[in-house]
Amino acid sequence: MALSHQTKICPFKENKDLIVMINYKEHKFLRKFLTEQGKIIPGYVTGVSAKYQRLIAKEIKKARNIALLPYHVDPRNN
Amino acid sequence: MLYYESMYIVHPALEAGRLKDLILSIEKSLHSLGGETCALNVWGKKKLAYPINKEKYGMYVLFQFKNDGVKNKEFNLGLEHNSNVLAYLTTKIEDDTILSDLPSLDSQLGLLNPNTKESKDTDNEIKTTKEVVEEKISETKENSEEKVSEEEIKKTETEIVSDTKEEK
Repeated sequence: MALSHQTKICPFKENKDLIVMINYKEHKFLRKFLTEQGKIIPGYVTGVSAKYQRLIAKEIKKARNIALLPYHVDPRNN
Repeated sequence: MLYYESMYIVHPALEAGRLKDLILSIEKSLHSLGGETCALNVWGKKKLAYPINKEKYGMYVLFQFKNDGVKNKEFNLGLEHNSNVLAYLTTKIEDDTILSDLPSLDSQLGLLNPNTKESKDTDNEIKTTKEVVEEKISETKENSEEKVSEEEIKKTETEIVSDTKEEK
């Protein structure tokens, strides 16, 4: 029963206005779903449902293509 | 006819005049393929997440248009062969995401020129601040005068009252 309290609620299901923000042009918002190294954080960590995690992953990959988001960040260079 | 948008990064060394020519030439290439422009938005100079062709900065331009999907390949090829375009991305969009109420291309590019417009603006701002300060000084002077006059009136009133009391 204790586990049931640890379940995370998807932020996009709580607030429907956020769904519009899943777009490669909103790269500042998409940065929330990246680690410091530039990796995509898995849905089971952030609590995003599979449906929106698929969309986020697609849009992050588009933003990477147009150099709005990094493919990888080397923390040693900073 | 479907709606598409293509975002491309222009070489940062291009001046506003040459940048406008490039944007218009890309627009013209779309028109020659039978497309229609919907919106043009210049994001301005931004830092790239990773260097492209050894460039750390780039000018981002967002171009939304209506076109036959089959012709997009030729349009993308034009961007690919343009040496001033560092990168580009063409995606399909819905018609409700098209930007509206954008200023004209000239004003968008004019805002990017810091040497011409901003200096004028700062001059105006300095002038206005000077004027405001002068106005404030004059207002405070007037207020102080008014206060003095009011105090004098009160004093005279109290004197008169005291005088009348003494007489009684």
